[in-house]
Amino acid sequence: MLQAYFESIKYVGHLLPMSFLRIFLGYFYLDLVFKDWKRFIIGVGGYSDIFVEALNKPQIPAWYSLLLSEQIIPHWQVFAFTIIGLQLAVGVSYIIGYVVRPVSILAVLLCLNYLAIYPIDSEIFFKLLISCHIMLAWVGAGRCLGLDYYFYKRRRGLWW
Amino acid sequence: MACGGNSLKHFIIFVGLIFSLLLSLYYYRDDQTKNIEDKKVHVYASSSFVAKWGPGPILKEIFEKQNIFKVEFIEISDMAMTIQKINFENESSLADVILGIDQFDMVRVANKIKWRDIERSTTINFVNNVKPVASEKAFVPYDWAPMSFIARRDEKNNINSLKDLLNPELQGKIALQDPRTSSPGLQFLVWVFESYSPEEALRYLKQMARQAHSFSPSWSASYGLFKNNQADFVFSYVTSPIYHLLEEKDDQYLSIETQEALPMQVEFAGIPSTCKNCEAAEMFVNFLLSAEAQKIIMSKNYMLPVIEHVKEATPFDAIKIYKTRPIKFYEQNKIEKWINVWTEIRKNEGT
Amino acid sequence: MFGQKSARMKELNFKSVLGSGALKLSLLFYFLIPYIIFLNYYDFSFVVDFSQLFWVLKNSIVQSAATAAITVSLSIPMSQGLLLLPDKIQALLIRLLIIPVIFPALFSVLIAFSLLNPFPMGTGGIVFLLVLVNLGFAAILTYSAIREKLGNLAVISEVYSLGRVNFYRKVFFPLLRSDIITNFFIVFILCFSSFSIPLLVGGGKGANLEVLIYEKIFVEQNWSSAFTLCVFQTLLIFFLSFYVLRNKKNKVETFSSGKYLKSYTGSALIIVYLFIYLGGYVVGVVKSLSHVDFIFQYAQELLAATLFTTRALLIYLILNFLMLFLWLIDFLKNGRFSLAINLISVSTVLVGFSFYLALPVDKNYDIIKIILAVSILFFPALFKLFLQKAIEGLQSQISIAQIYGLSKVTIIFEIIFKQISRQLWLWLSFMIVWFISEYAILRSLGVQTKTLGLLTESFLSSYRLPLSYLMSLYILVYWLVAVVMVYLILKVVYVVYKKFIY
Repeated sequence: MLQAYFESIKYVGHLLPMSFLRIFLGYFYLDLVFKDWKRFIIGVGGYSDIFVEALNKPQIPAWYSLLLSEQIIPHWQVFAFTIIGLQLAVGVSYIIGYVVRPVSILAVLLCLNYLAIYPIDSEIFFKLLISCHIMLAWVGAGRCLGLDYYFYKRRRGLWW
Repeated sequence: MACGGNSLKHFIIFVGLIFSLLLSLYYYRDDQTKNIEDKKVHVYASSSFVAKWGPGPILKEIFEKQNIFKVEFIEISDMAMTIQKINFENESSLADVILGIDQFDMVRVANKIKWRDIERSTTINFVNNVKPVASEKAFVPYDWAPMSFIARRDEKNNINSLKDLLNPELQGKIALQDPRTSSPGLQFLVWVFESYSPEEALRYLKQMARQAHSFSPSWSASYGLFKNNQADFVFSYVTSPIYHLLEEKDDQYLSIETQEALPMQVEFAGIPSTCKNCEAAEMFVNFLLSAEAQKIIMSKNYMLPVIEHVKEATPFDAIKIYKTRPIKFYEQNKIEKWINVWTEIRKNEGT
Repeated sequence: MFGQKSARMKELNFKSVLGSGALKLSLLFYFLIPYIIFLNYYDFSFVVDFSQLFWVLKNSIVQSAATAAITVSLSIPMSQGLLLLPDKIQALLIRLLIIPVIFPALFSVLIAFSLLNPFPMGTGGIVFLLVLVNLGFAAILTYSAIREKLGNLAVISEVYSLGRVNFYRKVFFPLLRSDIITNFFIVFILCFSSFSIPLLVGGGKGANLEVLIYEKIFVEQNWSSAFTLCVFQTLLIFFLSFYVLRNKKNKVETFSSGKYLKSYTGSALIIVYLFIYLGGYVVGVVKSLSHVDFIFQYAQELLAATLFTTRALLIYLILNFLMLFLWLIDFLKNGRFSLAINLISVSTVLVGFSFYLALPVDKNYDIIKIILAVSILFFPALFKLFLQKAIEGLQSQISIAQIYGLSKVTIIFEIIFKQISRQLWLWLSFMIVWFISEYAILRSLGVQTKTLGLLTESFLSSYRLPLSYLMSLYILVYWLVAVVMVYLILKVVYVVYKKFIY
């Protein structure tokens, strides 16, 4: 497997720049998980504030604000936990380059969620992030410097 | 498709692994949430106390406004089961305050666990009926009510004593409770044994077994029978008519005064020695004795306040406090003996 | 070469034996969890007053046997009354007939008391009430048995003009004897552990085993003897179920009703029964209608309880399907059902209290407690009631499929489920309604979130009887909606599954 990992540079070397972007994004997500986890552990007043602040955002769609106030805020722990878990999955997957394609779809969904809950000024950043994820999914960024290459070589298929 | 299925399987397993990792991290984390837990008082109370129509929610709101502590109510279905669990949990038990311990529970279950002595203000002016037990170190009384028979106003009744209940025309018309499963049922049994000599009591109970419409497993079942006109009398709290008056605007119920002094039920609060947030627990119990809390308990729980002057200028003031017998703690084996007598009588009746 | 192969075969064999053994054991283990928890906390105590034990046993047996005998004999004409009616009305009536077994006992008591005044207290009263509660249910059992066993014999007998009396003497009773005996014992077992009815109307003779257990716990605080009695009761029912409730295997045939199987008296009986019970209930509801504004007053609680119940119900259904699946895999492996099938009518107090002790009293644990306890209590009984016979009837088809080497999953979905869809529906709708109206177990579990059943009970146990009537109506509506929803979801899943397969 290790051999395949490095072998990939030889055969799909044109993807190498993309892999760096992928690994950097992976690091970014792990960092995010680290920060969010700390806020999550604190309990009330930590992560839950993000949801509460989101409610005050003026341009949030009506159905989403209803979802926020009726479902998410009462069970914020579950949602926060899910978000952190997904972030961790994205981070780990991007760094080791494993199941990158399906995970980047997850990442897009996560970004859509950020768009909804985070302040308006970071909107453009998340849009950029979404386009990065789409690119990663498109080229199959896990096939270079990643475990996906190993599986792709043996099993083929669209999702590696 | 098969290949896609394959990688998706990898994907699902991967995400599953990540989540289980996170979950185990969550459970084995350092308990940083502890300081929030420190600010919580876990109060164990019956469902009628905690329910929306009970005093619990309002008491919680006021207490939280006055103090930095948060109150969390835990509903208990049965005192014996709850105490047993606290006994097993020992140090890890969360219970800070336990409400709804009546005088029988105190003897039957209270000695299963250790209780903490509760400091209370010396200036509290308890009502006379409760005074004798107000100095209990580990238990603080917070409401009480005499118990008697409740009847409809339109029923002609000339009942002045327990004996009058044996009138032939009342045969099968009195809804009682089973003393083995219901606290009011036990109150009635003890009342009979306290009012008569053992032989007389035995005779009385034998005759009463004929008079009774039924012995319900719970107070609510017997009251349901009474409300549905199945029975003309039910053994209940003298405050019951007030409920119908205030909530249903129905004044056709009344409580009956007998020559024999009435038994009374007193509810106590206690703090187990394993409490986690003992000072806050003590504050909560003392809060229950404030005039404000007493008023809420009275109007929502339909029991009388233990503090003087609280019920003045409320509909509860109209309740005539009949002569009651001083509250007593009975030894467990005495109660068991009485229940056995009752069971023996019941064994031989019926067809 | 051959040696290697046979060694491999042995290994495989060993593995599969181990696998089936593990599944068998874990299924049994699942249903024994409450006992294991209890053993953790308490020891057995054999200090039992035997004269008292015999006395309560005698009471239990007399009450249950009398009830079962009356119920089952009345259920025969009633099931024929059902068969007289058009199919759609049959389906409706079956749902109505279930109602008495699912309502809080107090409702039945109030209805019975308003029927008979003065009410005969004592064994007579208990039997009357238990008959009132269980009659509709027994009628459904007999009705199902007729549909499963008789095939087209009624029509054939009619063609040969056998005559009604001869039909019953020579065809009906001989064929249905084992089912009638089974139904007798099912009702017997259901009554055996009933608690509040014997206590309420029993007089002295009302004390049965369940009451004695309760007394040991709540009067004497003697948990060890209570536990011992529980185990005794479970074993008693286990052996009863193991030896008596064994069905002869039979083939499933398409059923066609005949003149001999229809009875006008039976229809009249059903109508009278439903009139008495539902009439009493409707009177209760109508009287309570003036309180209907409670829906607004308690809208939030109602909504929360509905949502929570729905969530718990969903998980519960998934768990039950999973368990059914494992149960059937185990059946296919061993050729017979897990022994746990005989653990019916386990003491409610025992199961409730054991989970109450073992798990924290915390909102977050409510769902897990509920689905564990309720599935342990209900799964074997429901399976035995609705599915066992039907599945055993398919034995020959299953054997053939196994010989042809069909996979277990295919056998379960394509052979078993397809042919017992009617029973599966009955199973499912009972499962749903027992789950949503349950409160006694939930109380002893120390559940902190209100479910629909608990909300009904908390109205009942304060002064608010009318509200509990309205709540029960709400539960019935919810049940209907839930069954329809599950039906739709399963249909969709089935269509998708079909698309996937082909």
